[in-house]
Amino acid sequence: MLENNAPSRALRLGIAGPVGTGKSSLIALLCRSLGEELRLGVITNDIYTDEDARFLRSAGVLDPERIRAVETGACPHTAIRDDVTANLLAAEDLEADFAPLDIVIIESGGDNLTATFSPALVDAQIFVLDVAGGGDVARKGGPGISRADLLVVNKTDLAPYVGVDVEMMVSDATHAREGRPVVALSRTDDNSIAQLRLWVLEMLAAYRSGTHSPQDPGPMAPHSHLDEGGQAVVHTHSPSSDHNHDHDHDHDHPVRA
Amino acid sequence: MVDSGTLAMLLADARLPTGGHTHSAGMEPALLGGLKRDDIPSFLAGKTSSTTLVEAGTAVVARHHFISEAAPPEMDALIAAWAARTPSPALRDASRLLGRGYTRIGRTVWPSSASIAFCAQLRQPPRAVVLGAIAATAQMKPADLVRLVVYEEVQNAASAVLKLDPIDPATVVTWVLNACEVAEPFVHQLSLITTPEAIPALGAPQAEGWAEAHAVMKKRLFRA
Repeated sequence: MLENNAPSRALRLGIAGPVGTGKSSLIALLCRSLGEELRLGVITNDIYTDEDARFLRSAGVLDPERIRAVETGACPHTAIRDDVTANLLAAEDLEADFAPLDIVIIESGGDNLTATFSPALVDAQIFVLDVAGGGDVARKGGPGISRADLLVVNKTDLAPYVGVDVEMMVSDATHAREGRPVVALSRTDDNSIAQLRLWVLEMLAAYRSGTHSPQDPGPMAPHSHLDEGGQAVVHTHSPSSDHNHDHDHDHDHPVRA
Repeated sequence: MVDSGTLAMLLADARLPTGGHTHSAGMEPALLGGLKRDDIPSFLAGKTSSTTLVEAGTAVVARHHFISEAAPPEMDALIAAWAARTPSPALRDASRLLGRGYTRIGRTVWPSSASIAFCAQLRQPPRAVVLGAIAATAQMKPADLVRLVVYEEVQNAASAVLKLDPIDPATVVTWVLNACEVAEPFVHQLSLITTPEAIPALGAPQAEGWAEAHAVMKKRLFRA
């Protein structure tokens, strides 16, 4: 039952992020830009089961049979973290029915900034924000923003209408992520779609070669304290024990449950 | 060895990651099918004196079979007896999903159990059979197994009410206890059965019809 380093199953890619940031549209975009060369399957977790699945099926980007909705008992957060069973079984079934698949994309039901996938379910995850949610969201941090494998700042074409400075938002995000990748995405910007596509292909290659190990962004909320200059520093702690700080004063670290 | 009662608590705990939170034990189908709130306590009591006893009896016979190392054809006959008493395909599918969830946990917690390994080989084992395998492996008493199935079923349905037709959660607790009490007179006798023929053959056609209608509805919170 345990997978070894050279995986025989598809890459499981989670898509998380708050409601309305464009997770379903992002998946439609992935299917459109990768569907020719990769064998894809999609699992959606909507609050009311199949709203997102129906959107994706009607988008005509993938064989409708390869898009399945999973019920979450009104707890989308639980279904991707505390009890991933329903999603795992659905992923297994989708792979068995359409073997071989290259990637199974799992869309979380839109939740809040703290909802991230457990590595028990996905090998890698994308966290999605959008400019319309406010330019300061990326700076606020949180496990998904800080430590998802990729952060997408979506709907950049809307920035002029909502008064958001995209460059600043991406810079804030990159700072919060300590250099982990960020893609500023718009479905009208082919260059941004190419960046997203490249990231997915590179992640798939790393997964297949056994050089990628799933990271848990953790459910832990960010906290802040003052640095030497009296400035508030917001940061989160990585689940790993080698625990590097870019500031050098003492404070208590809460014990992770 | 963990006490049988502790094991029952563990297996009945909603925090056990088996996918149970995505199921409503027939409650969402019933409410969407027209069951009124005032009738929920009777619905729960009806479950624990009918279809729940089929599940519990199947689990007890499965436990007995696993302990006595019954041959695979006997397990096939047991599963056939369960399926014949569970005419709704939607409810059988739901049970098999829950069975896979318990099998995943069982494989991790009791990796050397031949009974749980057998369930994994079945690929789609009904929940009652897997619970029987876990009970056989961990030496859970048959009466505790019956009460576990009853409690699980009622608590699963009752907690779904809080998502579907929200009321004071304390009220629901009373419903759960009352429905468990309804099953209590059956527990001892049911805990002694050893053959598929002895599993109660009780149906609930209205609930089964609701489950079938629910399975093709577009908007659901729960699997079944």
